[in-house]
Amino acid sequence: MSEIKLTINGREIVATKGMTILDVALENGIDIPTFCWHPKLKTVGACRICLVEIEKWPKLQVSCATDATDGMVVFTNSDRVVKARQGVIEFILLNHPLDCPTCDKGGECPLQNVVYKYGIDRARTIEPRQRFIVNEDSTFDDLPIGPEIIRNQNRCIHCFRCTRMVEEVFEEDDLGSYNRGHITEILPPPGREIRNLYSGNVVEYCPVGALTNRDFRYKVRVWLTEQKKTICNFCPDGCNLTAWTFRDKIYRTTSRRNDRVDDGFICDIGRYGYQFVHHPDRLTSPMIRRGGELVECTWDEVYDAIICKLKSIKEKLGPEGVASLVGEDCSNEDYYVIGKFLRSVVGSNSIDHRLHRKKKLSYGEDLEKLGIVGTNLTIDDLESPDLFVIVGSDLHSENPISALRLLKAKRNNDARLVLINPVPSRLSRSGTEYIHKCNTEVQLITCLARIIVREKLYNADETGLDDRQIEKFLNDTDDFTIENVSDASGISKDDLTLLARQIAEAKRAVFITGRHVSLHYRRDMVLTALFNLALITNNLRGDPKGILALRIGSNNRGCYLFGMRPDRLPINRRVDEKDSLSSDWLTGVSDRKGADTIDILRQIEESKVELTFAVGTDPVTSYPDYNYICSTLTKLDFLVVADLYLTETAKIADVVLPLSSCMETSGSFCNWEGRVQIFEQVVNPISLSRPAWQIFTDLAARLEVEFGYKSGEDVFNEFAPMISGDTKLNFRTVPESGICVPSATPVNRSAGLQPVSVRAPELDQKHEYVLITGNGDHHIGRNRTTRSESLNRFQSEPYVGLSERTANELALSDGDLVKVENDFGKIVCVVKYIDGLRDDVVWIPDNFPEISANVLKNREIEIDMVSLVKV
Amino acid sequence: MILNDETVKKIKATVPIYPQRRSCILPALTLAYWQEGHLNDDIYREISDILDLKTVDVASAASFYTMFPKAPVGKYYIQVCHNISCALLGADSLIDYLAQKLGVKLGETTEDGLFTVVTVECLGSCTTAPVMQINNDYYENLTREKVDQILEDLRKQG
Amino acid sequence: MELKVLFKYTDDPDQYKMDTYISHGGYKAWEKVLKEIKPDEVIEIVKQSGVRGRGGAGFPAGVKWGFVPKDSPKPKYLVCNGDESEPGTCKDRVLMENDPHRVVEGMAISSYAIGAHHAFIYIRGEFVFPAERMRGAIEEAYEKGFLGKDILGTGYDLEMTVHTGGGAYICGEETALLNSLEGKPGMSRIRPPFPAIEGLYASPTVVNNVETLANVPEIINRGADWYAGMGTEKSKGTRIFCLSGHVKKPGNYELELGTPLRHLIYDLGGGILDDKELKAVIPGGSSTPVLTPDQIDVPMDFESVAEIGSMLGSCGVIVMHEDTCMVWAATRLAYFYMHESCGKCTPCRMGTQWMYQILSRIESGEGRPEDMDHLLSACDNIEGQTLCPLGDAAAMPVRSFAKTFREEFEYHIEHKKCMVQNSFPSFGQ
Repeated sequence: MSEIKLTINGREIVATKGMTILDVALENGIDIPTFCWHPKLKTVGACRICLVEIEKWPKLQVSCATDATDGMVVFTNSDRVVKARQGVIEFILLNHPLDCPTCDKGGECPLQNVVYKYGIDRARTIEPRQRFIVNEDSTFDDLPIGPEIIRNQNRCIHCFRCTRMVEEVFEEDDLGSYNRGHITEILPPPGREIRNLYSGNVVEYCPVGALTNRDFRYKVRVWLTEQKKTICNFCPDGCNLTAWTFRDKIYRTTSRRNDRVDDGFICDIGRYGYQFVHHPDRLTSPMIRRGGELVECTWDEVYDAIICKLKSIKEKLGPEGVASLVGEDCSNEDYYVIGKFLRSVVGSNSIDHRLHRKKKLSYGEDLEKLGIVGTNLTIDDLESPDLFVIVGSDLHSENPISALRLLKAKRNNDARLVLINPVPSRLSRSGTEYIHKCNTEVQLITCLARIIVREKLYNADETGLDDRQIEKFLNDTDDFTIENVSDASGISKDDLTLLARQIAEAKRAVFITGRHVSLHYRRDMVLTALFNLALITNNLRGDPKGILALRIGSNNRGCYLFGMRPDRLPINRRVDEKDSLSSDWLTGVSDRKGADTIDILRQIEESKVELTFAVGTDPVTSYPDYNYICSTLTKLDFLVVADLYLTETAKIADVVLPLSSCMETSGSFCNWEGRVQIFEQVVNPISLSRPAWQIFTDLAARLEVEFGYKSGEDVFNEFAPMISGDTKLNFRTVPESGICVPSATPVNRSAGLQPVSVRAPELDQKHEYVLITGNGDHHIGRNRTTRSESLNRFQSEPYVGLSERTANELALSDGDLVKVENDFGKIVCVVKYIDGLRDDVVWIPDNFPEISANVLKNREIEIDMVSLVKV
Repeated sequence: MILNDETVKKIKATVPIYPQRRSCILPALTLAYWQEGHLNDDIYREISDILDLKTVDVASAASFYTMFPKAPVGKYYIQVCHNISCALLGADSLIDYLAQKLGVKLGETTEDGLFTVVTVECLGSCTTAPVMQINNDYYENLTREKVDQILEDLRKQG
Repeated sequence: MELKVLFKYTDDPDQYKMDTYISHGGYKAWEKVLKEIKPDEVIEIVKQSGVRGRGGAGFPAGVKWGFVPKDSPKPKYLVCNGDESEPGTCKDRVLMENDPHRVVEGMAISSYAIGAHHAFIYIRGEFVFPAERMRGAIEEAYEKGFLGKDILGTGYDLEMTVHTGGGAYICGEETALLNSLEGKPGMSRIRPPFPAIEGLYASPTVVNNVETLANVPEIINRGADWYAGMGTEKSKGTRIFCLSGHVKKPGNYELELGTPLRHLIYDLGGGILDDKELKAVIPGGSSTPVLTPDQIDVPMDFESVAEIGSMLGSCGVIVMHEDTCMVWAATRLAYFYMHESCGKCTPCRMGTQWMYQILSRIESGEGRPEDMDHLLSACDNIEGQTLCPLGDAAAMPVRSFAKTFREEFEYHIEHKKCMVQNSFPSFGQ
């Protein structure tokens, strides 16, 4: 990259060739106004407000689209420039209404700011401003164009940021510009709404008040608000947010652009999800069961009850009589303190966060050794591959903002997206999706590897695979012929060949797995098969490596990092390695083996565990066996539930503790990259709620162990040196990029090709449809998003997704009631056709309180099968 | 379905011509206009289905181009040029004459559904002004007698 | 004096047919180029001929072709601009209707020169008949083996496609045309990148006017020197002038560049209609500044017309006689540009609206004294500051009318009526 020198406003500036004048100016703190330009969008040079004067150039030039060159002499504020800008402003104000007093953009409006700075003192235009009349009786001309978005076309200055963003960045199709010239207007396509998962961004990026959202409009003036830094914790992407508050209430959250993580875009769940904080369902007081009923009580009463039980159970059963189940949306501070309390104060290592899987909670040791369990990939690394192979994931709903990076790679380096999924996913519109018969992933992936080997599309030198290994691999996998696998998976032989060739041809492919793989009955084997494929195609070279196994749960990675498994301590150290960690409390950690979720539940059955804490988790609706979890938890002598709401689990608890959300305390989260990012306290705890770290600090104090934490920040400061290796690091000195904690063992390419096998799942033969669950539109997880009024505007009712053909065979139409049942339970719900769904699959979004799919699940049965009956 | 088999066939035939599918939008809109005499939202949806393109792209493009009426018009869509060269040779009186003779205002359709009169910008036939276009055909060097004759002929055709 | 190069055979009713075209020497140049001349040499010949773009801007065609990168791995495209929409201009239509093979041959040769294997001709949607003629000619050319695969056994492939528009003047602007050809709204694009680098489908593309390309076969047949021998030093060859408005014999006349405007209006055009006094002439299509009677001795070439403050543009000569209200004429043009602004950039979208608002107020007797200043200041704020030339095209005529005939505008404002009441030949007489 070559260096250039140019002069801006008499100041000599060194810049890099290829930068625009605007880039150089902004980098050097020289103000040039912009409307249509945005760093994340292609430059269009349309608004003309960024005009500058360049010596020896006859015309003024738009700085956003003019490259800075060596020796250039630029003026950004000469009389000519100012006059031209005033001209542009005058043109814009010809139609732009001066309704700032009633406009929600007022106070943060780029147009208002530019007019303020360059405006002329009198208007020369006398023509009535053009209106796009919505309702003759009103002068407001507000038109709802989506569940959340309101358009006021009169205010639009035609920068087209909204439509460009929707098309370029989101690859969505629900907003466009219509007509031309001064009557150009922004609208969704005929008969539709703007309701894509990223739709809220168009409001944030609109430089005027032409697009506003129901969530924020007419609620509070922006200059009255306070802003706090927070981190989204609905999915493991970890987008940076600003929370805007007024009088201890959150009014909105917006993107706090962090190019390493979110690129300045957030999804609607992150934008509107905060509404769960102030929802009237929030628990306002601790509760204790008296005479069979949960009644409100004081913290002292509830703490006394817990301590009393804790002591007696410990005496009776030993420390292992106490266990804890934790949810995956708590903060690192919560995990750290819960772990510290349970392990060093109570003396029990029985703790787990893994409540979604039925069996084999841990990755096998073999797999751990291959080094593909964690990841060293960063979100940034997703910009460089030229092929993404997504296996078993609706990435769009599971990791919405990471998904945008794939689209960015597609845009910038023609990357291709291939999706191999059991159910159709939203990203299929941006790539090619192959829908396979459920549970044939291992065969499929291995078959692709075989095709590549047989067609000699691999590089023996670079991959280090010799003929003997290859020969053995082919022999070992000779069941996975293209014919057999095509029959088993339902994907045609031609498609398999095409897919294999595509993968082989890619310069750099990344394989991404998601929800379906993380819940897969043979998760390890799917990943092993992927290891082979990635090895054969030489995509495990260098660092980062080519397999990204994404998991469910927003702070799942924090659970790993802070030892929310029986055998692991903070920074993922094994319990027997505790001495390697230099923290006082760790020396007091029990050496006794703890129980994982499966064992905890069994021990409850066997009365070996009588007290369980359930913190921020609702196993009754989420554990994949409703009958079992209910009967088990009710066997407990004492169930302590700490949560935001009176969840189904809380309803059967002995005591219920009102938990504060992450908005009500300070702390940190760890995103899927292993990036620990801090968040500030945004509002005071709701009612009497307390954050989990505080509850366990309080409990410890009552057992005469003083943790001494007064804030989440204090907790962070204790573990910060541990995770960063920097003894000076504290909450105040964490860099904007966070702290990256690599968790993965290096990839072990020399392990060579791994044996793979298939094993038919244990399934219930009596029923004909496979049950698969996922996220509904604009929802993720249970309990929180359904308590956001805005998100419920997109989807608030549960449904049962069927292929049109399956529905028709059962004489069911869209909207009819259907009973989904098996030996374990039943659900009655409305039918919705899902395009592209296999005929043998029933798909249920598992977010809504009315139904929970786990009533149809049994922990002994690997594949959930159901029958359908018309109601 | 609004578009008939022939139109659909013709639209599909444009696909192999272009390196990118989106280029088929204007040809498709033109074919739809020739069949129906106007365009509407349902047609945009049909075209986007036929071409496997986004409806928003089809609708947005259609709205930009003013040659296609976006609501039903008469069987004979009379587009009179009112730009400078035609205006200098009496386009305004031609428009008045047509409106009066057909008993409609600009943009309106005659009760028998035969004629709609609109003004359009330069048709690119300035040396033979005044000019009008009826459906796909140009009528040039117009005089009162010519217009009478044209309308009479079209009426006869029904 | 007319000098017929392009119009040599346009009066022959069968010229649109392949056989007739061939009998008049057609496709000889194409054959010669394919078999004897290297692409670079074709570009050199066209450069030498000095032929300049006939769409309006007058950029040397050969130079434009030379901008196409030779080493680009992307496909290259030739696009012929037949979106003739500039008010006062109707020359390309004649060529496409009456001599379509000449256009096909010109397109083929320039495609070969720039290494394109797919050429498009974008024809305005209203031109249904010219488009039919072009399609017919292309079909015949395929049948004869002048287009398609392995043309005349030389190994060179060329596809040719007619693409029609949907009613948008802006699509005559090359980047808007490319967007339109890609199926998008015809909005202009920012330059750079220029079409020669990133044009159609982001590939190197040359966009040339119909008339420009129609000249190419004869340049090849008769040589660059022959062509350069016509016209003036910097404006070579002939051009088709479209004479319209208040003249006795309106029509398209092909003249050597440098022919005085007076000759066109008075000798070829037969003088002013009804023998009235000449009042104003727009020399190069509606975008070009208006001339007054004292200026009509100007030789019609790029330089001479520019010297007196106007432009040769697209050679659409619009004549207005004494009974024409200049406020009315300017308002009519301002409406056109407002209607045709694509709406992408602020000065054009809003400026054209404001100019029309002011003018229509003056025209309807609601003008204010300060309106003239506002009008001229709006022109200032549009000109040179828009994304594409449509802004200039809109502002130039308004400014020139307002300046040249200022007293008429002021009269209108003061007396709330025309200084000169329009009196046009009512149609039908």
